[in-house]
Amino acid sequence: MKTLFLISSAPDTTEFRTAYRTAREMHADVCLLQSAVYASRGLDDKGLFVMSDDMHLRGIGDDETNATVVDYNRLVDMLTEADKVIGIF
Amino acid sequence: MDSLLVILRNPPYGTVNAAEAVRHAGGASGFDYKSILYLIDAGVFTAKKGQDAADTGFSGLGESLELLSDEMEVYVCQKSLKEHGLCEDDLVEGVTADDGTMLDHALKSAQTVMIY
Repeated sequence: MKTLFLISSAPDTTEFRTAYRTAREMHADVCLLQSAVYASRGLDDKGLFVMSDDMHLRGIGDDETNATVVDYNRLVDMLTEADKVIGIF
Repeated sequence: MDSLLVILRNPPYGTVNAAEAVRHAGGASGFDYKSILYLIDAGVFTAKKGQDAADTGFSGLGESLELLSDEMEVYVCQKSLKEHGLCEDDLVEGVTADDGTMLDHALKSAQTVMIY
């Protein structure tokens, strides 16, 4: 079963830490949106995606992340492809 | 001259906190206040270089900080910079890193303190 987590809270919040730990325990993919994109600068996990618009707004370049950079169209595809979508934290 | 210290703890764009903090600090300096904006915790991201508001409808806060730094003092907490994986080279012009000394002084001397 393919599960996708959507996280929008900043990395130094409880919401982010809880959501990210749960996603990893469930071996789920994670898409970082809004303030959560800051986390993409320090994480190096498989199945990690980050929203390009929110990254660039915040001055984070594509070269500063190991996550897969996606746009809104790709996110919509991911939402429809996933068996279960959990979010938004 | 009255003094205002604005402390920003939240990252930009996720909520209105950062935009309001910059607006208030900048606005006060226009009314003869000695205005200090202090970025701490995730608030340090507000001074990150390269913010690209493009057509999102947001106003780029990094750019605003750079422009306003002529009229008010802008500081970032060195410890928070490190914790959030940033260094001084990542920041816009006009922002000064502080080891806590300036914050201590500003807290004592400011007539008004606003925390966002």
